[in-house]
Amino acid sequence: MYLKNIRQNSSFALLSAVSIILILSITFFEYGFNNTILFFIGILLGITFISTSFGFSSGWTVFFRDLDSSSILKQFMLIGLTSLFILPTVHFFESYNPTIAPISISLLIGSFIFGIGMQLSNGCASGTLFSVGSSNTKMMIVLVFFVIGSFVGSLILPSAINIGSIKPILIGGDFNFIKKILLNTSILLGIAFIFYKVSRKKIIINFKDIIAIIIISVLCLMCLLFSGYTWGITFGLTVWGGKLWSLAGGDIYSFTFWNWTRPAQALESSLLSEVSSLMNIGMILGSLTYVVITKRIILSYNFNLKIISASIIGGLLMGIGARLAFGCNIGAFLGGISSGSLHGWVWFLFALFGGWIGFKLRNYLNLNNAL
Amino acid sequence: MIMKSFQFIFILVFLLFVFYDYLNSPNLEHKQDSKLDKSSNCAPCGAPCELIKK
Repeated sequence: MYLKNIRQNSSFALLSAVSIILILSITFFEYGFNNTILFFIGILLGITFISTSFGFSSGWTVFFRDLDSSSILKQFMLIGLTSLFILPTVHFFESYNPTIAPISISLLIGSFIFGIGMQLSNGCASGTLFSVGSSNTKMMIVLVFFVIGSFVGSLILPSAINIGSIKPILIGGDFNFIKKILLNTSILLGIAFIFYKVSRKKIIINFKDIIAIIIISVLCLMCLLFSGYTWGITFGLTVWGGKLWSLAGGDIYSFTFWNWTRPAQALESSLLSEVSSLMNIGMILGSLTYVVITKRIILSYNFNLKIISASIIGGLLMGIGARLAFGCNIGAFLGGISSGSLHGWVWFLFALFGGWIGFKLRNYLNLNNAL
Repeated sequence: MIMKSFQFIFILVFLLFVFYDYLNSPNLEHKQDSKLDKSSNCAPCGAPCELIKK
């Protein structure tokens, strides 16, 4: 059956196989073993997300529509397990960095508009990548505008941080390890309990979800161990935007953001040496490989102006929002909370509120059936 | 067929962009240990510490 699928998707199969082999070789011989492993982690993340259908935005939609907390509780389980891996690692080994960010006006605005974008485009950052890999045409449009949006966000961010911010806060930062992990776990359990209580539907978490949660959290730990940072998606997309701007002849260094150390380094280096880009590419190729082997690539014709407009606006809002909010549902929500950073919770609160507005907009525009 | 061609071309162009970028990036000495300098990176976006910790 698998061979039949590969034969039917032969052009995609060839493209995927050649690219994976080339990238594995380049990273191994040019950028070292760590980068080869990180690319492989990206591939595994793509396969895990697409094969288990583990998502963020659709779960939020179900919560807004039916007050069914099952998916949000799965996300909390993922964050909880990931934090049990990340908190000890960053506490005991100084060379591994937690994801921290300031509590700023830009965080509030960014996460709010990210939430709106997530509902309009019916996808999040991770969802966009693995859906593009599975050859979802609508999400290809979303990805293009996510990249444009995050580049626009990079131009706004330096001024936006100056509007007002307080420095990053690590929850239980001054406590010993046991107290810190207990405090962070208690907050997570407390908020999960609120969602459990407000759910009008029976909470259903099946075996496939548990497997997805375990694999994704282990891959998050591996990302931290091999890169020194927790998993992030948006920075890579911002760099793609910066590279395209330069390629089009734009003067990238006239913008403050691109003179900061990390973006400037990323711009000078190859995408295959920059961790976030490399893992994003891995995710797309992992998902593509899975689809090529397991099913026939679907031709999607369900297009109209409304869907295209929602994808464009949703992608733009997610891109700008994620950049202003120091990350997306992965970098800020998963990475931030599992690192014990308060900004992760603030991100969640405002993105949830934005998501609710986005959901109402979707209803108003009658997009629910179309998407 | 048109849609499938679009999907294929999109992924192909994306990968060509990745390889074009690799071929045209300056051959910088790559740190085997990809951990970034903590002292100059205080947020996931690489915002400098003096901006973040004020």
